[in-house]
Amino acid sequence: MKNLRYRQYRDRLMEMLLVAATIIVLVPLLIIIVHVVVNGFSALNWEFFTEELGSPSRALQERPTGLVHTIIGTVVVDFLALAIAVPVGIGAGIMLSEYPEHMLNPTLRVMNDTLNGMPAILKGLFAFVLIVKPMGTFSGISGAVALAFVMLPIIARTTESALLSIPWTIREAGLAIGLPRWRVVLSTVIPAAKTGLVTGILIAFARAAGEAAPLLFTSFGNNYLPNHWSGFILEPVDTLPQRLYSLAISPYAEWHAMGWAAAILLLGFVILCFTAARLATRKRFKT
Amino acid sequence: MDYKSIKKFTMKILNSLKTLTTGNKKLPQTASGLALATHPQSGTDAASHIEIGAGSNAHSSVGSAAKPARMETRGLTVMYGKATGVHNISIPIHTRKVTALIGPSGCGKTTFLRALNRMHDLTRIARVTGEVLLDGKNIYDSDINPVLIRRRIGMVFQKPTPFPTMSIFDNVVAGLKLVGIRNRSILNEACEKALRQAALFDEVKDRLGDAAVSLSGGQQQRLSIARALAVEPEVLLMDEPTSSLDPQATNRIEELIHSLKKEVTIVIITHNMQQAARVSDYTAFFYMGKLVEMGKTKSLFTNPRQKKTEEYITGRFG
Repeated sequence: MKNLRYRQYRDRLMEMLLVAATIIVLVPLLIIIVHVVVNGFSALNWEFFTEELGSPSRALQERPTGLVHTIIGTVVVDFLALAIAVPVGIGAGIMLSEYPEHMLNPTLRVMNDTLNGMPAILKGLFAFVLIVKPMGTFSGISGAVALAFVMLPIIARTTESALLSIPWTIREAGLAIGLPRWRVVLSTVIPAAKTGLVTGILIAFARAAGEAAPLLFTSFGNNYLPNHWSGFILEPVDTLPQRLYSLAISPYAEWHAMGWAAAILLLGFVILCFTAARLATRKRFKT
Repeated sequence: MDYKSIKKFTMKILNSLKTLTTGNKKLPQTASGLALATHPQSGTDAASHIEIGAGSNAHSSVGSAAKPARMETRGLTVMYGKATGVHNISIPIHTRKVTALIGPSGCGKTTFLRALNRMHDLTRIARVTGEVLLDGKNIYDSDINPVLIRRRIGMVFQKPTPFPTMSIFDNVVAGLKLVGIRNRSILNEACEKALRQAALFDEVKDRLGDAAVSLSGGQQQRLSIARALAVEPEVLLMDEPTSSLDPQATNRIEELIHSLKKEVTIVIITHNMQQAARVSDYTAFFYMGKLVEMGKTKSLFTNPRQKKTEEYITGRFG
């Protein structure tokens, strides 16, 4: 017979298991952050943010060297990708959630999930065929397109679930006062789902910002600043995850240290984006 | 054609011209062109009718500007895939009266009600056949825009549905503001009028900028009603509007229905027999997707013709 004491005991046990699960989630994150900061902090200096990398000899001879071209390149490529992926992804998400009766909807859902599950390197290959081949050169824009394909299915899916979390009755109430469908979605559903939408875009952004594989044969990498700003779009561009990789597999201890510093930057970049978005989507009304 | 009929015809045209010009004169102080289109019961009925796309109606309704919409259903059937929601319903919706729909859960009341303003358009598997006539024109005709139909036939739902990100004011005038009416004084006027009609104005007049979701459940429901009234519909469909409210709030909404029927035709679904008896002029009893009987509320409750009706209203089933 399961008496009250036994059930209370079991309740406590379940609670402890949940706490344990939470800790297991948090601990690796903390270890990574601490480890990265400890190892990379020494390489962070003024020149790191103002100088280009150049050849290994610069670091070996202790001449000024840094990752300014990588930082700018990352920002340019990631935001270009975001600019491509957000309108399309949000549009697909609206289609998935708001027009369930549409003919194309089931197909879109399957295709989107397939795209989401596809290895990122294939998306790089696709962008290579689509843009690098015709252009005849590796470029920032091709990297942005590859990353956009990483973001796209995530944005579509999170948009869909954010919109579906808004009760269907809100839409009917909008229609019942004679609003057209697109107006209902735009003015009542999307504002209510704003936090979810932004969170989804951020998840997609953070995920894409950490991807190195799709950039290997699209934006390719570069040790130098371009001569003209358009070089960040039309010429091979350096990005943080890919630079981190090439610094890490290089044979120079100086470059290893810079790799850790690059990791700090990448983490900081993502954390900054999340904080900014949290501030931007603070609720107008407390509920 | 004799003299009398010619004279009558000429008078009709003159009258309609008069209506149009007086309507235009009022323009600067009362409403913009858009607002006119949303005021089907004001002097310029023509605008809304033309917008609906019922070309044949436009002419006749100019002459009878003050006459409210007539509504009826003919052989209305709604299918969900292969299952029948409601079958072959033909009833009149009496103008400026309250028609109550009663019947046990799942009998098709809501399905029927939603067919009256084309809410089934959004459900892929739902298929509507038969006719819903508004001023003699079937609202399911291909040249009818459902959005404009829903401006004339409003709806209030079982649960309050305030738009969560909007203030009280924005909620009430959403149906005007979101179709492009920006004039502050028109919106203020419409907001106050609708809130007064819904008996909510005094409670919220000092905090119109607050979140609509900060109101209590009963207030939110009256807000939903005010929002539906702000676009000045000719018909208001109410799907169990008081089922989630306490007795006091229910009472207020019943009083509201009573005063509203001077201007608006109301169709209300209710599970509460007393409520049906209190608020309605006509009652239709649905059972298993079919209409069992419809008649004046008084006679249906005191002297039902069908045995099923009697059993239901005396609480023997349902």
